Amino acid sequence: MVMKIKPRKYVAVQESGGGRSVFFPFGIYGSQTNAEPAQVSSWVSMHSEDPTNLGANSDRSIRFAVLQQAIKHMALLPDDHTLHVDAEAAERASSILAVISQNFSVKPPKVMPQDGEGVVFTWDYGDLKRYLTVEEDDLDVMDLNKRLGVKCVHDVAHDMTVFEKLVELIGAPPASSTTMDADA
Amino acid sequence: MQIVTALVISVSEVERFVMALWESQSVQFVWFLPDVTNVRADQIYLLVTGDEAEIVQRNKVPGPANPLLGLASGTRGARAYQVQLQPGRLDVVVSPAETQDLDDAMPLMDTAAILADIESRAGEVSAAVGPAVRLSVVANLIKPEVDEQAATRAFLDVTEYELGYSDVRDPILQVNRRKALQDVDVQINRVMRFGVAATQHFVFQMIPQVGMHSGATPISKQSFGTSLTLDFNTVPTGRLIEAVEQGIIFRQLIAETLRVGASVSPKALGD
Repeated sequence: MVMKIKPRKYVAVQESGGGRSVFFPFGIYGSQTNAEPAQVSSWVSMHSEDPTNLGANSDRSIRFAVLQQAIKHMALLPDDHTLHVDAEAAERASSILAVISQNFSVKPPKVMPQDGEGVVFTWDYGDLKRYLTVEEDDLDVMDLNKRLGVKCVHDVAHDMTVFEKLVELIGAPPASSTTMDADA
Repeated sequence: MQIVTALVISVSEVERFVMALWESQSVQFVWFLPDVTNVRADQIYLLVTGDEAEIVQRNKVPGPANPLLGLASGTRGARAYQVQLQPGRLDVVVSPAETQDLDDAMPLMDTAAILADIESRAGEVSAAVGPAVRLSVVANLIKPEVDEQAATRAFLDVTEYELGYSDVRDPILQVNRRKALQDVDVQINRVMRFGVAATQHFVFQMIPQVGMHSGATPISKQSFGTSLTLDFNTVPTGRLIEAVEQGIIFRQLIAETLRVGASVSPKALGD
């Protein structure tokens, strides 16, 4: 018996999704005749840009993906772990980070837990260090002048205008393109 | 200084512009969302195509190797649909289904037809996903040419570069001009990106061996074309766009995409 490999579907080469992956969805079944070579085809775009405008392989996208992964893992840690964060706070922090990263030209922050009840994002701008603290029901931005030791705290209400206020506070330029790589 | 003009376009004008519109390599609709917790890629695929997806993947902990929370894809006729969900955004991408014949021309789609089809389903998607931070329509248009030199000459022609020579490589022109939409307090980015695209079609002739993929002989063919990416998206301010408002915005994004796309000139942003 000769086994014949027949493609049920063409090979799909996916540029999006963070890494290049190739699916080979073959069905294998028996045949009593000589097998014909199976043909599997694939279009590969050699365009100078990501045709899906996801930009998922850029350094910026990868760094934000690492942060998203870190937040998810922090929520999965045991309650008594020093890096543990409540699931609800982690979910909100993940959403806010996603909105910031996908729509505004900000560089990836550093991330750390806040007493198990929140997530803190930090950015360094020279003498200024900015803290964005996200808890389940609270959100605030604190700017610290490291040289002078002066702090400025802004509370952001938890309502429908939360993103408008946040955008005003962080002062990040809005995105122009669907992929942030052209702007960042 | 940002110059903002009002968008005024009639249906008859759209129909006239469609005649000159290049075909598409892909068309993409994007909802940038504040919360994707309750969004399912396979459900969105069903809303967009009216059918169940062929491939469905879910990922609880996205990371660099796979940043997607969900993926649903499938083929319907000559079109391939892919719904991708990741933190902060939902992408619906339509592209031509792949072909096994090397003699086939570069697979392209009727741009206006795709945009109209997805727009007719976008309302249901908006109702399912809720408020959005930003909306986007992206069309990757291609005009096939016989070779790279011809595609480059066509690029120089449509962009009206007057360099005095045409043997350039890797040309690209990107320009953005914002515009205010009608009836909604929203501005849009109108990003036009001209370039030269090369597409390679691989065929792997598999020599059958049980349980193995060895023995494949790749054959390939390159196709060239002048490309124009139209990336029209709302300017994010942090304000949430409710589902009802999303329909008004998508209609105007599509109308403007058709108008500017049909002109095939950066001067179209003058209006």
